[in-house]
Amino acid sequence: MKYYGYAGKILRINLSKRKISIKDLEKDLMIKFLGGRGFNSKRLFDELPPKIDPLSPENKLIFSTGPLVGTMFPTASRFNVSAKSPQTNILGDSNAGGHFSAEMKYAGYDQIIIEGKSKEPIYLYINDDEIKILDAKHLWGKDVYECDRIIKKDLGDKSIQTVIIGPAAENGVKFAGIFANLMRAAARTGMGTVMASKNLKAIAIKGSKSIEVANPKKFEKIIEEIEEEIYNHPQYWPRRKMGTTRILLPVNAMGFLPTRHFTSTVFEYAENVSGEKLAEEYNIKVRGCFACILPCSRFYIIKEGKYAGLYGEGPEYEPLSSFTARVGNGDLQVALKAIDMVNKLGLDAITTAECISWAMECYEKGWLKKNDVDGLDLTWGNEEAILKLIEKISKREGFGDILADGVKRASEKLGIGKEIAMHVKGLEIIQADPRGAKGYGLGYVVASRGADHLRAEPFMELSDDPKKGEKLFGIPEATIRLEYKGKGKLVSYCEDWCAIVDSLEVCKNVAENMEILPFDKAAEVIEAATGLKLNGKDVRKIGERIINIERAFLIREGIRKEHDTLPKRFLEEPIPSGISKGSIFELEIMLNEYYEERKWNKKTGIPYKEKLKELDLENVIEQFEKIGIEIE
Amino acid sequence: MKKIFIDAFKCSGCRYCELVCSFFHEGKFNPKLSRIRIFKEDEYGIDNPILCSLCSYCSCINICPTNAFYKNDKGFMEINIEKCIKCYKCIESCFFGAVFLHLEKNIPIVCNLCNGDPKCVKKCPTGAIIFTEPNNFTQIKNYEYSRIVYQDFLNKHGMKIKSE
Repeated sequence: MKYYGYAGKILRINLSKRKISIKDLEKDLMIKFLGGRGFNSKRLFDELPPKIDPLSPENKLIFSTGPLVGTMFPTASRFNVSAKSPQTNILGDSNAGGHFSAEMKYAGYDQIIIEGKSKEPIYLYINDDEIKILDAKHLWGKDVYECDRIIKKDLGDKSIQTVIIGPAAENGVKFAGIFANLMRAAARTGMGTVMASKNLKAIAIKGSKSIEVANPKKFEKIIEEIEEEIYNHPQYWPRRKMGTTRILLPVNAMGFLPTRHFTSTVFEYAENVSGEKLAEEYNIKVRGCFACILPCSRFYIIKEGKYAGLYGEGPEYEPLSSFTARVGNGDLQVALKAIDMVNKLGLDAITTAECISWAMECYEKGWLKKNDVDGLDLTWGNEEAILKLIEKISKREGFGDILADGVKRASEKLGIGKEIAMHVKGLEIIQADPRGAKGYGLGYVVASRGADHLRAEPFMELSDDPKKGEKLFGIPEATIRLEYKGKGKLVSYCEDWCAIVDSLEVCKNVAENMEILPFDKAAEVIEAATGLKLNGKDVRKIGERIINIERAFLIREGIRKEHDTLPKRFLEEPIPSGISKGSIFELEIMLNEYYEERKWNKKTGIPYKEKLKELDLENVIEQFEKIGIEIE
Repeated sequence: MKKIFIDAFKCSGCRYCELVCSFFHEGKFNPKLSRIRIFKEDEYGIDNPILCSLCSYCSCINICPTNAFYKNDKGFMEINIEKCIKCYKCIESCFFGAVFLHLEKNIPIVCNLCNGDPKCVKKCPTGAIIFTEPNNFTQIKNYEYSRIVYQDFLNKHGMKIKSE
């Protein structure tokens, strides 16, 4: 069978047996799960037995790319990497851009499945059909940058694309990431930790094959339309100038910028650490992911001061705002240094900053004393403490060893600050206070990988435009950020949408936030690229199917309604100051509306049989019945 | 005559040019079939597009033992593939490494300016690839450079140059 859009092959590598197999992409998988995240979630549900140890050889680490990657579709450059998460013990999944995904496609693979565990440290070199398992003893312990340099030297080719783990992953930090193009982090949910548990330091990839599309004329036409839409979008220039950091000041102005570990939502030094400041004083050029016509990454250099000579790419809003407002640091250069460390050591910036800021709040409250934290002074914003803790976490040294398990486990181990450990299902909350953006908040509650904005990303609620909510959901409040009404509809709509975006592996900023690729348009593109005949409704159904198979994975691991919640502060304490003052998160009412919309049982949070049948997920019903999960 | 000029510091390294090039010339997407290639080093933010500079002394034309390389009546570079003996002296001799190898057919490929209407120039999102007369390119560069030179001076006097 000839594939259009897709590369057409699945590569499976068993590191225990050193066995490599290449099979055709299953047509059924393609039609029902589209690509990327959809492929990964389905594969994990089918192939992982429930309740396995995420760090055992039984776990599988899966990389997937999407049907548009490698073509000229603007921003189709991303990949998903998934496994059972050692950080949360549920579905682990992370997504990054750069150039790795396209190279993987050109090498001929839609999905790469890593199984088992190597005895010795190794790395993989994939050059089209030639796959080598190479010794990585000399790479072990090296940071992401160094490792990349050595691999390219060893293989004698600078054009190779890599994904690499840092020392943090090797040391067993539970929230270590996987890094592409040095700074493109697939860092959430500890996928790097899983990679390290398999003794796999890196994957280097090089491809020379071509991607053909089913209907080149139509595809070209759609691309021209999309290009025009992107170039004429009001967000084009702000994004190009500042990337996601452009929202730091607006989020602060709207009063939901998590400051000093969510004790406040307005940061007095926001101007000093803003995207504007970064763009004006530090950025020297733009950089972009593969096939992106809205290059939003920026290369910065610090020219003077203590950190003069530091340079790199980015940062994005999350790490920037995490290492400034969240930890109470008003010095942009310190944040840049912290982010550079996090990248090189291979950590998840959001979780690292949550761990540090959590410890700082405990310190302020007197629950942690100086001698509990290796003599560090954990006053808000203390530069030395922030940078030392990053290092200690990555080495699992002293107090860092406790934090290296994530904030949930750290609070349980120390028996303090459980109610202020800002996580859902073990994954740390991002840099947006759920009380100030309730759609986002509901997104954290129900997201299939724990507290996370990228599963739903209901960006449209920040528009505060009632007409939008009225038009899409018949509820004007749905797109007003401080209202609770209509959020169930908003979040399930956006979740389905994000599932499609993640499966096509295009950029969420452009496809979803900027609303360039709604379901109907996605159907058109998919048809032109792959030849699969779909309409907008079919596409949304695929999105819904992905959400439900992920939910099924969680249900199988024991997640129920009681886990769909937020830390107490957001449910009981109103926002203390700023423009969103007084707002609180109305969990029960929003969650019920969401369950209703999803056709999930309101008492248990388990999808109803009828829904699963409608989505052709009969195998989920069978599995549930086999292992004794009651399903109505 | 008009040529393609590169303003490398503007390049974002997105490789959209490589994609449109391979799609236009080969009907499929593959940067390794492209006549323009970007050479990148992420650590330093290097993104440098390389393609044929249409030199007046073309080492590829001069070295080709079978005269497969020539400039057509419009002055664009062409390769008569039937004559090519795959000695790759063209690849070896090009000063800029702008003659590439077609990985499927094992023949040399080189930019022919899409016969006078270069697609990469049209599609480049950052304006890093410019199709113009040499003198015009000098002007573009020099006006930009002059703004940079004046920026600090004007700032001191409370003036700000508006970006274009």
